[in-house]
Amino acid sequence: MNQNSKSIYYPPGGILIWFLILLEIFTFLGAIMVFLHYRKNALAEFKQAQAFLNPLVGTINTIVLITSGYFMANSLHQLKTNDNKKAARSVQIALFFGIVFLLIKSTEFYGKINHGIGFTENTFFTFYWLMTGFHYIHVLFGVGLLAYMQHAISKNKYNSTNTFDVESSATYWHLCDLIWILIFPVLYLL
Amino acid sequence: MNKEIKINTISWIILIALILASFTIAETHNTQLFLVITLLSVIKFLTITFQFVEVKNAHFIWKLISIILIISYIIGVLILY
Repeated sequence: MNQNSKSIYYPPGGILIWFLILLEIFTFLGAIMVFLHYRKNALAEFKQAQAFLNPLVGTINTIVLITSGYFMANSLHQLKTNDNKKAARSVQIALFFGIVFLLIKSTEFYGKINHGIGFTENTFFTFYWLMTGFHYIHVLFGVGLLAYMQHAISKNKYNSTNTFDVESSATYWHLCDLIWILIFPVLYLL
Repeated sequence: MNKEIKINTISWIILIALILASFTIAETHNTQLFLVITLLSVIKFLTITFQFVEVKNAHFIWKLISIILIISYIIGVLILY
C-alpha cells in the first residue's frame, strides 16, 4: 500500500486513474440505464434478441477476466516484497487470461457477424455491440499495458519503492473487471 | 504466503462462486430472481473494488464514491427493470 493512500489525494493507483474510473463507470452506467429503459418498452423483442447470446460463454469469460484480475492484484503484493520474479510471473498469467478473454469475445463477435447480426440488427444488438465493443477496446489496451508491465517488472524497472505505475496499471485492469461485472448480467442474464 | 494474497485468494474463490451462482439462477428463467442476480453483481463489484483495487486502505471518500457508484446501479436496475 502506498504510504499516502489514506490521503484523499492518493487513492490506489493515483487520482488521475480514479477520474478515469469514475468517468468510465458513469458512461457505462448511463448506457446500462438507457438499455434498461428501451428493454422495458420492448421486452419481447429484447428477450428474443438475448436468446442469441450464450450465457455460459459469458459466464466462462467473466471467470477468465476475474481470474486475470486476481493475478494482477497478487503481482502488486509480490512486487511490494521485492519478489520481482513472482510479480512478473503473476502479470504474465494475468496477461494470458486477458488474451483468453479477448479470444473468446472475438469468437463470439465473429459468430454474430457470421449470422448477419450487426450493429443495426435491432436495439438490443445496438447496445450489445456498443457496450461489449467499447469494453473490448478497454481490455485490448489493458493487455498492451500488462505486456509492458510484465517486461518492465522482469527487467527490475519497478521494485518495492517504485510501484506507482504498476499500481495504476492494476487499477486500470480492475476497471475492466468492474465494467464487465456491471454489463454482463444486464446483457446476458437478466 | 503473503496475508493479502491469502485474502485475495479467498475473495477470488468467493467471486467465482458468485459468478456461477448468477449463471445458475439465470438458467431457472425466473424473472422474479433478477434482484438476486443484481445483488450478486453488487457484492462482486464491492469485492473487486475493496480487495483487488485496495479501496479498503484508501481515504473514506473513495470508499463512499465506490459505494455510491454501485448504489446508482442497483437503483437504476430496480426502477428500470
